[in-house]
Amino acid sequence: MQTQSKLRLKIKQIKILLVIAAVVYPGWTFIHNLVFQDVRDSYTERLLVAAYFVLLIFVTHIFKNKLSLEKQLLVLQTGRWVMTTHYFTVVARNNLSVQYAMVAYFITFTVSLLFEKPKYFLMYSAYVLFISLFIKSGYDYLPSYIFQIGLATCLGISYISISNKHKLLSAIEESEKLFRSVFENSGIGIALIKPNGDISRANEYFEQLIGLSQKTQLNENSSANLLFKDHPELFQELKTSSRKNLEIKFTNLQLEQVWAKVSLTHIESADHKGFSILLTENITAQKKAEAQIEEQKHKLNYSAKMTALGEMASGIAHEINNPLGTIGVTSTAISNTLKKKNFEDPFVFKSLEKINATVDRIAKIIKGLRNFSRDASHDDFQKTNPIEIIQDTLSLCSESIKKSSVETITEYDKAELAIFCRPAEISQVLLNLFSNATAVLSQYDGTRTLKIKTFSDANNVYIEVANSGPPIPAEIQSKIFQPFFTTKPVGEGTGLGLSISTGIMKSHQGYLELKKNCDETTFMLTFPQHLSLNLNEAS
Amino acid sequence: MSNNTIDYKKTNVLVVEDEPDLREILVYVLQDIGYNVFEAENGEVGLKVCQNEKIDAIISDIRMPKLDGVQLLKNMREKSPEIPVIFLVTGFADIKENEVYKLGANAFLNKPYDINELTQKLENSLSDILKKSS
Repeated sequence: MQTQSKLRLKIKQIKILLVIAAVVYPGWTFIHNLVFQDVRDSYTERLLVAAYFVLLIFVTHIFKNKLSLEKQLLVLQTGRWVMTTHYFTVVARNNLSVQYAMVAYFITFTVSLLFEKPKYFLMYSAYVLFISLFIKSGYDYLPSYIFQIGLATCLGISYISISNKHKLLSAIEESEKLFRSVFENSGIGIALIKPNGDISRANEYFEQLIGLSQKTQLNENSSANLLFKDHPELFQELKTSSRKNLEIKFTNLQLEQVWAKVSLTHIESADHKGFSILLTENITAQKKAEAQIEEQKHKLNYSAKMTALGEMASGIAHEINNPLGTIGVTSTAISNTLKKKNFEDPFVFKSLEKINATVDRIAKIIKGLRNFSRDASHDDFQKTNPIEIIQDTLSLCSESIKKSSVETITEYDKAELAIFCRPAEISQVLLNLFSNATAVLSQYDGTRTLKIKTFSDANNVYIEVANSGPPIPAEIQSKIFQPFFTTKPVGEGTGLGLSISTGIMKSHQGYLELKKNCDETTFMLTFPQHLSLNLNEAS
Repeated sequence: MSNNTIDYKKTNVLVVEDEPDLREILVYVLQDIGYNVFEAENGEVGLKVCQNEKIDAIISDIRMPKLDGVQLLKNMREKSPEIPVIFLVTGFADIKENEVYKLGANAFLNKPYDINELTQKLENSLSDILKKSS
């Protein structure tokens, strides 16, 4: 890229020189005629040469898209050759002195110094030497071979100096290229930071990291101080200490959250201002993966805990259901016997009914506990009345609801509803919502109600769980479904309830959402009816 | 109709249940209805009773020491495939619903169950047998 722009500049310079030459060259005849009255020179020849210069400018301009820059340069350079040839012709025709030819040569020599390519310079000089052999010395003090020797010496010296310069330049260019490629391909972001925080140079990795697009350049908005404004410690006391492998999170220019590992080293420079080298590595993906692993770990822990609880519940179920059976069977047997003997005391019968109802309740709690805690994700989908699930789940947490003085209101639009689901999983979702609501309400001074509603339309069956507690603040509304987000004190909530519930609803092709614009905090479960249709067709 | 009426006195029901209290009350209720009741505290004893007596119906727990309900049923079915068997299940851990029927049980009840439901199911099973034989 850089050599291209250099070439372009050179072409521009030559074009300007050619324009000047086109004006000056014909005018030279006038000076000739003034100084040497007997000189044979013609305006026409010189105007032709000038016209040739103009032609060159036009040709290179017209074909500037077709000819490469190198070729344009070569074409333009032929102007010099033609001019020198003509000048030497004039010299030879008039028997002018060699010194005069030397002047001509050195004018074009100066011009040729602009073109650093030794190859062209050598070609040109050799050409000059060649045509100088045809110059006949006129009324001269010196023989013409002196001129030729001088010319050859000049040629050698200038060739050596120019080729040395060229070698040096290309060595610098090579070295620059090498360091640039190391700078660009080091696989880490590198930026040079001025003491005021501006970024003076940065490689592509760094530019990508800070979200600099190809169109935008580094400017005051991309100052390191601004970018890392949340980490002011990064640039403090840089001169005395360096930073190694700090992990920081920042918002880049594309407003993305980026995790980076950064190292900073201060370097003293000759002007005593110094600058800092900022090395950065994008570790966002790694951080995301770590967070995912952490989440998996927690979920695994959670499910291990649940499995243990499930096993215990099933053990308890066996141990309790037997004696519970005895109680239930006995009370019914007593009731039957009393009825047979025409015993009439409503209190006794009512009490026996109560015993049976209590037995049922205990059995339900155990069933619910077992259902809640076991891994139900491989259960079969069943056609179930959601109201049954709601009732079973409520009985599981009726004690804690009662203890928190929460009033439960249920509103079922019709008694016969059906959804296709894994009942145990839906019970888990509901229990989560119920216990969250109870936890909030127990801290709340206003009315404490937990409202559960079911309704349906042509497409979906809905269950709404609303509580009269304080609304969820807007800023955390989007976070509550994220894993590990909890408002409960450390150690009490896992922060997984709603995220697991969301997953369960997804596996039912439904949703769990927080309803907006409601007076009460309302969570809504949506079950698509088409799921039941699909399953019906499948079965 | 008279053919289909159960003669309780002549109907031998075997109750296999390891929980003594539960077994006792079951036996009491069934005897109260009029059945001729035999009892066993596990499958092994139950099987012996079956070998010695002509049993018409079995009510059995599943989870029991020595020989469990399922084993009892398998042994039983070889000799008398017709006898109605009602299982009493402590919830869900023991066995799945369809498996119970696959094994050849006629009905099953989750503990704690309603005793009236049990006696009803027993009666239904016995009348089904009578209908078939008549």
